[in-house]
Amino acid sequence: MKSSLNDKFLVASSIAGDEEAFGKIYDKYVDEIYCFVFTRVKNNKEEAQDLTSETFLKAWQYVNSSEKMVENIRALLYKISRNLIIDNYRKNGNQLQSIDDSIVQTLADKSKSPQDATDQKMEVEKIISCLESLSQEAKEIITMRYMQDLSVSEISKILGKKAGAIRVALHRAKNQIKDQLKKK
Amino acid sequence: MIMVFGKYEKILSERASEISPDKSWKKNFRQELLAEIRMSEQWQKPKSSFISRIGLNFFVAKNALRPVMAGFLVLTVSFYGTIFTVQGAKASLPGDTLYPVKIGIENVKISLVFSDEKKAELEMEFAGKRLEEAHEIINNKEDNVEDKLKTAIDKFENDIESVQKRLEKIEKQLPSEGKSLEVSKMVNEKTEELEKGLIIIKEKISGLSDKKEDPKDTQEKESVEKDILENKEQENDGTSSEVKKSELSETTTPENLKTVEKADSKSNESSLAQAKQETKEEKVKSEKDEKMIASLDSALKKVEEANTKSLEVFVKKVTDTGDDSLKKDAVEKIQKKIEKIEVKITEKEKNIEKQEAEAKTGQDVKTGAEQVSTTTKDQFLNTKDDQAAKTETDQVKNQQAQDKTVSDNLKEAKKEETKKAIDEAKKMLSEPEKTTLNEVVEKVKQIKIDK
Repeated sequence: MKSSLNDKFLVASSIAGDEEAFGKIYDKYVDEIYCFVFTRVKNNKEEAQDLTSETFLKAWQYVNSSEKMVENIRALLYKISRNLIIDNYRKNGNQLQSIDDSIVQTLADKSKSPQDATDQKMEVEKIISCLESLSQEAKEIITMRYMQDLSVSEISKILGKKAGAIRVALHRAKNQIKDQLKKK
Repeated sequence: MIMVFGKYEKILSERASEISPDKSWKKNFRQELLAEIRMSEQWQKPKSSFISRIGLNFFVAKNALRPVMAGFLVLTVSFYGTIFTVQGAKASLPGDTLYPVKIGIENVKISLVFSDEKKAELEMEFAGKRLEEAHEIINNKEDNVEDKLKTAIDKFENDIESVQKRLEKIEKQLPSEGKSLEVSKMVNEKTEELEKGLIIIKEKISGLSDKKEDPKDTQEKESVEKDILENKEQENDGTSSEVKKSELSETTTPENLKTVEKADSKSNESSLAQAKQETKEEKVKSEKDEKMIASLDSALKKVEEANTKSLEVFVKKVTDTGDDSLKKDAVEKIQKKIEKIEVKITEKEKNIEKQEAEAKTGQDVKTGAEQVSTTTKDQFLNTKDDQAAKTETDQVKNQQAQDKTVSDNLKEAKKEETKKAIDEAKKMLSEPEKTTLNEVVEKVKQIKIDK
């Protein structure tokens, strides 16, 4: 899901005073930003809602006050939400996590039949254990790429690194997961 | 192995799609976010103009919008030749080749904004442009004025109708959405300006048509036509030619006489044809003027409706906010509206009186002529059949007189009703502790000006 030309029009229109244009940006990205936050705050619904709200308010402030035109509103939203999650963890004395363990149980609960639930649970457990063996940054890159469907350039903007470095990190993380899966 | 990893990619992606926030939270926070934006300093700051701001953004944000601008230029150049075409389109008038381009650009501008408030602002701006075009068309006095004016006024009506629909939507918005207050106020003030503009155009057209239909000119033309006809009749009797023949017989040959006869007849025929043609042209012109005035009247009606609606929305939003200074503003606007209605009614009454006086003068002349004719007829009415026919005519006349009395009574009753509604609205406005402003507007809406 790349940032489209439409996003640029929406950003330009909201700067021009059309608040409904920012409403459209909200409609488009609220679900995925909420999901991104939710999986990083130990599935705490209230906390996820608060951080998502703050993300959009901060994004609006940035869009309106920045001298530079926002090129990729989606990447900006992820970057803001990630910073807010880090701040939140710092306040509570914890570390940022790329994905929460409770994901396994949630997914199993949502499966259609008991058999499906068991199968899914096993699969998810397998991948979570593989992810756990990765470094914090590699875990984050993998979840951003495959869970949030962010492009390499978007991840590079969010993490403040070069796209090449992200590509290399992603390649290494995938190889590590493959090795882990071979062993299991 | 890639396939194996692909399976996990799918699981992760599916997992993401299953996590979504509560619908009610999503909806509530959206409203909070937009309300927060409206209250922010940047949004509250008076803006130069929406178009100039968006224009500024288009050019300041050159990096982000470079592809957009490039696409726009490519489209413009490929469809319309050069960038100057767009500039030319801005100055175009209905009937010009580039006029559809101008309207197209305006439609794109409307579709590029999302909120009904912004769309309404743009539509009001474009309606104002249509009126400027109408002024220009009347002043230019080119061919097909009526068609060009109709195009501009039709588009004007569409814009006003659309604004009214948007006002209906804005009316339902939450009180926190402060922009609706500003927009309804803007529409209310702008519709008053537009109404004045429409009246000026209407007066111009009426002035032109009055000039064309100057009774003196018409009488003169009619007498000329009559003279020509009489001349022709005389010619047919041979009298005129004989006079001329006798005048010329002493000095001219028979061949010359024939030529004179032929020339006289031809000149009379061509003068008659010219006079007939002029009368026909005038009739066509007056019909066209009537059509233009009807179209302007329809636009005036739409503007009036939008004005009332905007007042209704403004008053409703003011009541919701409970702000005293805004309430004062709303009271002033309602007073102004009532005064305007009173002025319209007085003007209407004056016009009716004038028309009735004119009709009476005409009727007196007609009655005088009829009386003479009846007296003459009565002298010859001897048979029973003739007497029966006379009684029937008298009965029809009595019936017509009765109908007129009923219609006059109805008109008087309506007049009384309107006056009563105005007085009630004024009374309600002077007693704010007893009635709300919304109720006063409802009362004002009930006042109908009899057409």
